[in-house]
Amino acid sequence: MKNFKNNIIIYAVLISTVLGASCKKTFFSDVNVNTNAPDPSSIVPSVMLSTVEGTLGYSQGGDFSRFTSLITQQTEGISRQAQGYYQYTFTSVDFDGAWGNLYTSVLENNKTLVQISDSKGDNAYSGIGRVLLAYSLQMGVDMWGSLPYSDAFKGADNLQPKYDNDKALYDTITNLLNTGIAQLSNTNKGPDVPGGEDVIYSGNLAKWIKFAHAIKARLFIHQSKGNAAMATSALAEIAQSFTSNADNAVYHFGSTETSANPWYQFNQQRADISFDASPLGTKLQAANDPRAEIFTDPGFNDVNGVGMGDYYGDISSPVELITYDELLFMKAEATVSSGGSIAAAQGFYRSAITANMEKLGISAGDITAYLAAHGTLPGTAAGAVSQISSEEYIALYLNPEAFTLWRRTGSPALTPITGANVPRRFLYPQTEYSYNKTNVATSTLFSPKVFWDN
Amino acid sequence: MFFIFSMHTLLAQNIDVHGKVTDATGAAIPDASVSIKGTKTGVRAGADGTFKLSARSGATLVVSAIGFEAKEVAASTSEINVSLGQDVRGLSEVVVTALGIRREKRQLATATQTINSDQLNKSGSGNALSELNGKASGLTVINSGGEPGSGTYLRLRGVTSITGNNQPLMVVDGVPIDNSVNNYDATSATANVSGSNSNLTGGVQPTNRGVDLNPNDIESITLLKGPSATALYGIQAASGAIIITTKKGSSGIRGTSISFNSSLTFDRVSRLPDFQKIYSQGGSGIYQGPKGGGDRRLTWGAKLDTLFWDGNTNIWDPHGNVVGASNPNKKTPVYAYDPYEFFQTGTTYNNNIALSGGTAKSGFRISLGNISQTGIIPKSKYDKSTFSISGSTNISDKLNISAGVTYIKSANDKVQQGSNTSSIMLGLLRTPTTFDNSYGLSNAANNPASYIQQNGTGQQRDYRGGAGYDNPYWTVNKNPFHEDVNRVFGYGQANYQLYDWISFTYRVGGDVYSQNAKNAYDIFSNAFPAGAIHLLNYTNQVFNSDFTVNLKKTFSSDFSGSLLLGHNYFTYQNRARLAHGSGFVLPAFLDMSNATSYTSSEGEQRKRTMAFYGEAHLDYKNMLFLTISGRRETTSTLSPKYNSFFYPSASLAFEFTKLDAFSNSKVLNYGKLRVSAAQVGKDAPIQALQTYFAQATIADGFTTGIQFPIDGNAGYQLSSTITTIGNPELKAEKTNSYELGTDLGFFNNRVTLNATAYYSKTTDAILIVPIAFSTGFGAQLLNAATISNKGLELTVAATPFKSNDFTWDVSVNWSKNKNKVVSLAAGVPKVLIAGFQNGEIDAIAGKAFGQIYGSVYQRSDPNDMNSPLLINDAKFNADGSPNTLYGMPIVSTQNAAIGDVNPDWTGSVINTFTYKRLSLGVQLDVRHGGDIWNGTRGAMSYFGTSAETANRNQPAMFKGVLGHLDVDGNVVHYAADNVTEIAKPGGENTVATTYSQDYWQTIGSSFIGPAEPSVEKSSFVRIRQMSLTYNIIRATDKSRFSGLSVTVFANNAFIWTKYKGVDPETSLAGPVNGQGLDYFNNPGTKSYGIRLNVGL
Repeated sequence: MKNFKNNIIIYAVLISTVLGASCKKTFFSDVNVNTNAPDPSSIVPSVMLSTVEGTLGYSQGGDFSRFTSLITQQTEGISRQAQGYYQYTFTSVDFDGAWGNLYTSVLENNKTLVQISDSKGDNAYSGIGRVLLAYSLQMGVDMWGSLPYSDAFKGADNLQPKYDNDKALYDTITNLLNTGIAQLSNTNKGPDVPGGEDVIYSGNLAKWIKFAHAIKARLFIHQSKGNAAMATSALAEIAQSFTSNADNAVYHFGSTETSANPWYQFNQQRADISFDASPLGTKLQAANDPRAEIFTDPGFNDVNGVGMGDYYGDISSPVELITYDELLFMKAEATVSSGGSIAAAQGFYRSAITANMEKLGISAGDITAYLAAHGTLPGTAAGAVSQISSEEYIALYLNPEAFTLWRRTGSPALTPITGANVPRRFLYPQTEYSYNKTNVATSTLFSPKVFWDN
Repeated sequence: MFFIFSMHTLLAQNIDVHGKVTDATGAAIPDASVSIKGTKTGVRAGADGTFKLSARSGATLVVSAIGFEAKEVAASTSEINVSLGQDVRGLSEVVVTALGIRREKRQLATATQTINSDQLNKSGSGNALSELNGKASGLTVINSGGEPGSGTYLRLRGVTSITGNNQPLMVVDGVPIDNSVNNYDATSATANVSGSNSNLTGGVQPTNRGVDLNPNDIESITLLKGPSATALYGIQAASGAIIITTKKGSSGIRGTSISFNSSLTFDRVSRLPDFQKIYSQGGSGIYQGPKGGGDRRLTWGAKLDTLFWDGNTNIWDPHGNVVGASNPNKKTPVYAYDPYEFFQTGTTYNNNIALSGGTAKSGFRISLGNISQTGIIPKSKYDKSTFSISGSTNISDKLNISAGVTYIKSANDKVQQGSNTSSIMLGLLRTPTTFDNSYGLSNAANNPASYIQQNGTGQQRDYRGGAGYDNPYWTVNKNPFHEDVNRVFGYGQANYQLYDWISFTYRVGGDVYSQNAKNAYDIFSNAFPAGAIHLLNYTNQVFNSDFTVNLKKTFSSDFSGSLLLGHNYFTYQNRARLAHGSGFVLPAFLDMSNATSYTSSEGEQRKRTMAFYGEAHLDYKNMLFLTISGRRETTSTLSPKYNSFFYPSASLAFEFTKLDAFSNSKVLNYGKLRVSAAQVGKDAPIQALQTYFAQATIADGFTTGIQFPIDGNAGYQLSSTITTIGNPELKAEKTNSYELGTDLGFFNNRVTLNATAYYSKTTDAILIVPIAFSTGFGAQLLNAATISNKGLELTVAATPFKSNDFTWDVSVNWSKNKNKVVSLAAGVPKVLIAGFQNGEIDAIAGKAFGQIYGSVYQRSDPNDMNSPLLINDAKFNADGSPNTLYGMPIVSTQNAAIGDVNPDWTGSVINTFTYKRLSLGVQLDVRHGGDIWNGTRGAMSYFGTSAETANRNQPAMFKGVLGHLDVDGNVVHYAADNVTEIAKPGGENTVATTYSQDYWQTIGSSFIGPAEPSVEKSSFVRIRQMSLTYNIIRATDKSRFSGLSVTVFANNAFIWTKYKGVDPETSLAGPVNGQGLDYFNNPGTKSYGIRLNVGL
């Protein structure tokens, strides 16, 4: 019996230990906390700005650049999915990645950046956040047209965001930029100021303001087809924007495999796209364009042998958002469209080619020779815009803006690879058709067109 | 009153009893249980059947053994020899049920099935889980692949959880052990961890830790198939339980015995996809070699009989360059190389020795096992050693203490598989007929001339000049994956029989392991051309404690009962430490210090549950048995508001043959009806209540992406495409289950039948609900889905023939389960379980869990999958060039459900023929129905290597109606001018076309074309096992050996299936919910072996 009593005591102790512990409220819930994640209150704007710039650079240089360069025949898909895309066999599923990364990694985190910056009174970060938000949103509108925005980014609180009209979104973007410019101009930058984590401008707010005007210039030039007032507005924005290549909005990738440029990664890991054999590559080589050997590398014979040049294809190559040369091309086009003289436009046009070639490191002699051959605009307004666009299309190599340029100017003339038409938009992704069916419109690669494309 | 009774017991005179337990033929029955009726006292007979114990004179001894009918004898003399009859029907045997409760099977009202030790070592594989295949009804066993150390997926009945675990709880000697898959796919772009976020399509074959168990240490495995049987286990056993009882030493005076077995098995590759051997590397009918242009990646080149070698040996081919018939340097005609020479014969040595014995009061067992295996793929290896020790002692009449501990050490060299440029099968099956990966070397896996270009560049030698996909010989040498597991699990238990009517049991157990893997890719590997290394360290800890009080009372001669009350406490912790380096400086130095950039991550998951439970068991006239149980459980994975819940179960068994009406029945000698109802709960995933910030990373479907920190800048993200929003409102999933069954014995149990029908409905199933990315996130967790399962399980056992010398036993298992995902979340038609964008395994509302989903051919009526195909009627492209796809089917831009991975039914027939000392066993397994996605063939047809592409250039006319889709997506057809579009489809297709390269690359195969043609039936009939045993010495023979036998066996020697890929029993994603995918899965094996058993 003594034995039994001892056991009873042991059991009593054991049970009460376990039960006693359970009386503490946190006995269970403590265990369920993810200790490998930072506390939300410790997140500062700088760690979000890094993310937003990096994910934007990767998204644009990845799916967006691949799809648009294949559609505009700057590159050629020679194998697997890229071969299909080149022949326009896109399905909605193919756009899940581009759309998903834009909405979750780029825009949602950008929203968080703005929210945290606003709550801390970090005006400089708030301004940068709004400029980046405007840029990314515009990239989305230009590819898809109407998009969810005002109803979006609400997580579980709104699972089926309504779509905002694409034209109205252009106003939203303008407002974001105006607010952003005001915040960037505020002498009170706030307690936290951007620095080295701002890979695009290292915290130089004056350049961010110029970038904001460059985005506004794009907004106007996109709507300038048959609308001189829009062209005039674009000119006003260009005047407040970049003044040299030193102002270029460019995301520079790192030098490691986990921070590598997306085109470099694609060529290393997939290599389904040819650069030298594409219509543009072939054309540049045939024309002895000095950019041929910068964009492409016909002698390229490493593991994957796809012929991409180092300027855009190296591990740490830049992904360009907007650069000075594009603004000069816009200036030339807007000058013509707003009724200005072709001679004046030609000056900007030549500066644009020069800025582009200087950016790419082409010698002055080669630039002079090129301008001698291609630096003169035809006498008609339509002809001038067409030639300006054809040249701008080369300067916008691998930039999704080239797809927009082609759609709104029709230059250069592209022959469909298959079928009767070259696509004029991205398809809405399968995830929207599956999970936001009531709001997403039917889309094909040809319709509905983005509002400025009508 | 009880006190007086027990005093009386003590006063009674004890006598020593000894004897031997044998079967009807006189052969010893090892490990039989001899207990004194009405007490907890008992011993186990030794391997030679002898036992010894002390009992009150006149007491009744109950002698039982698994597989035999129990017998009661009076302890009247000192020597008692007991002969037990074979229990063909398996009805009266004692089975271990939940919490280690031993109960006579006849008293159970739930479906259980027990597999004995002799059934668990048939294949020599050393994998206790794969040995279960076909041995029971209602059990699904799928071996992921034939590689050493690959995983085995188990499921009892149907899927009840969408994103949670559907595998049964594994319990060893009363302690739950971990069966997790800790997996990392370094080559996956979007997600490289195992679990819900991964597409699970690349990397190495995942292993579930349940395969660590050594079947030689297992006495029996009891399957508790439904919630009624497992209600006492709670959350963890919501998908059933596998109760594993290990072999023990027995108390009883008979010294020690030794058993030894040794087997040698040879593995061969079982099935492989067919190759075409007519056309060469290249495209458009023109040969291109490894240094040729873009078409060198294909096998759409010239006919082999038009090609010759020129004899100029070079680094690509010892036969020389491939040249045409008109080339003056042509020497020998080209022939097709055999890519499958890559596979080798695998060898498995499996050795086990066990020492067991005891004294009057104590028993012990020590065992040592080793399995050493080389695979059918060169350099794949598995080496596992197990050491196990257990003991039990009666400290007093009332107190018994027992403990056991098992140590397992394994080392596994695995190879890359699946969707991964380093995958063995991917590299092998895309290799053109005119390229020899082995460079003609007999020992290619060990000779770098086969896989490194012998020109000083260090680049790999493959059919694309170093690009594309890794030469399989490169992969096995340069992309090693080595994994070490060190594991200890065990238990300690004390039983205290205070009085006859009350006893206490306390049991603690633990399971701790570390799993450390190193996976490297040398420079010039196509998955990581700059080189990469991944160090993956997991530690896992499980602790479990159960305290139970057992009470019993006899109310009257007709009515008795028992009550069990218990408390359970359980903790789980899994830590992952992952380090990655990339950008090697030095070649062939696969070490972290050689990397130039590093990232690392850590993760820790913890869980804690506690429960009170009780079970009351009532017995009326030994005929009617009622069991009622309840469990209240608290779990850490739910918010305090919802983290405690209760679930009950009740079951009733009625042995109707005990009624007088049946007492004289010559036909039906045993009959039981059983009915049960139960509810179980399943909690939420760990850390699922909140949304957390994480180190930022982004990737798309094509590249591995970028990861912060970058250049010293930290980056955090709240969201990405794979971010699931946490949900603090999650509640437990609930499954209500109903079961009705009968167990019947005919002709004195010469024929027995067990039949069970069940229905279960799971509500509030937690699932990761994909949401529109426009919400800012990828998914959210909800209690949303409802899933139902209904099924039928039959087991028939019979002895059709029996004489003194010859016996034929046969047992048949058959089961059918009908699963239905009744609903997912509102507005969510489907949820991805695993797979590719165009070859997914999904849960789709209204259909069974496990639908193959992907792109289909365009039907003439887009809303009717049964309407005729729409055949492309566009003769010309926009530029006036002829349309190469004219007259061919059109691929729809809409995806649809195109297959169901669930079989209609599965069954097995196990025959055992015994003639004197000779015994022959044959097991036939059948899987009828069910689909599998053969993405392997789809890709091979794109590249032109598959056998079906040998029909190239042959005429074709596709059945369907002419038409196409206009720019708005409407079905239209062209007028005669081939320009004007007319609404609706046109007439029947009469366009003659050919099976062109274009056809196979865009329409005929799933690689970039439709998923639909890749869906195949996975039905099979196979002879899973055959074994022939000769018993040289039996236990009854006069010999110093208690047994000596030799067995020859064959596994998977024959398989009949229409499936065009590898063994249809395969799983790309491994032992997880997403079954039914084949995309360059490593092949299965057939094996032949010999085994020696010695007892001493």
